[in-house]
Amino acid sequence: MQRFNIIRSLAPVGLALVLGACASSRPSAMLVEAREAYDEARTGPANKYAPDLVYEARTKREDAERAHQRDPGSDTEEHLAYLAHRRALLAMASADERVAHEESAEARKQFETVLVTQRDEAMSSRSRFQDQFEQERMAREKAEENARKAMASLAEIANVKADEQRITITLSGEVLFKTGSATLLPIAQSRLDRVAEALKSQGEDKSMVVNGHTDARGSDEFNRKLSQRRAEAVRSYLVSRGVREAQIRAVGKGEVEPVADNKTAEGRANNRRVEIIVDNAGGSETGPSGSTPSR
Amino acid sequence: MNHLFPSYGLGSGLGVLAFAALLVGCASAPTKQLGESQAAYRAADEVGAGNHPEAAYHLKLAEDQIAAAKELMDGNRREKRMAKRHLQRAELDAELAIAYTRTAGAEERAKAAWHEVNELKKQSGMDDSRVREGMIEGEGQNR
Repeated sequence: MQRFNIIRSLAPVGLALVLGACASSRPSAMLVEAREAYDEARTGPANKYAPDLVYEARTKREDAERAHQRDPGSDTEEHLAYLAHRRALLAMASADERVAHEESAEARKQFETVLVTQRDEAMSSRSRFQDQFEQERMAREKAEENARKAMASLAEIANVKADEQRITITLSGEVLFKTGSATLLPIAQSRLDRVAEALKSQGEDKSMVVNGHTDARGSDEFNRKLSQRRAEAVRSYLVSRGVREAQIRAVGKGEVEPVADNKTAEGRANNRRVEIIVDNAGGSETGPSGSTPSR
Repeated sequence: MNHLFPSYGLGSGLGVLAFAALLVGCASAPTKQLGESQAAYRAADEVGAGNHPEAAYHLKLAEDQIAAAKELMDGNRREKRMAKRHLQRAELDAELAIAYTRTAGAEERAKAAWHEVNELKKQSGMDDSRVREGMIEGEGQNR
């Protein structure tokens, strides 16, 4: 009975000892933090970018663990755990810095790439523009050459004068119409075919006018109307051969703009004429006004 | 005197001196560690650790621990040992303050670099990576 009492009285002491042992073997809060920080460093970018610092953190953590084994909850454990924790943070901070440096390098690389791409695109665009410009220039030169040749070829059938402002094609009235008539002669048509081709080669942006002229025989009124009908006949024929209708007008000048003396037969023959004027200056007046224009 | 140490020679006398020196050494103030911790603190301060919240926190810890160590440095052996520990912690906190400052600077530069890339891309209609800027922002801020 006495022995039982001794056991009973010692039981709380034993329990207290066991509990005390359990409590003191618990790691300090600092050691727990150190463990967590080390694990984070070991499994994060620090393992790649700062392995030497991670190793140091591990060494310090092991020191702290040993201190904990020797004397749980001691100041030494706390102190070593503190150092281990800071070592782990250092490893992670160092790794973050390395990552940021790599990001900067990557950004600089991309910057260069974008610059090069932009420059290439600009050069390509400029090259395309130059090619296009060159093609257009060549096409324009060819068209001008064709137009010049076409006009030159008219010299066989008409009098052609050209300057920067205008081209004047003068056809004799003798080869186009019978006396007093506005009906085109068959021979006139083949000549006007060539004139139409030459006019079309000048481009669709140029305005043209057909001026009809007579000699001084007959009344002014008769001559004006006859010249108008003749100008319209020529214009209609040219339009039928492909000259744009909106591009060409017909004007009857009558006898008022002679180019030769109406007192001689030769002079009168020269005054009976049809002039086709191509405006090179772009839409300005293509001949002296005063007569009725027709479209 | 001779009869006090009749059988001790010169070698034994040196041994006593060495033992005394050892005792003095153990109990000396951690002045070397103080110098190292203060140097680390000054370096952290000079790199601008005070301008970044995380770095400033550790800079302050270093400062406080150096101050605490100074209080204990001239005390008994236990206090001197505590002072040394404070100084060791202070040195690491100062190093950490430097590391955080450098990291913050590098992250700011990376962010600025990506911003320039995005601006350039915007100019040429290639704006497709604003996400990268967001990724840089806030990195290293949650320890």
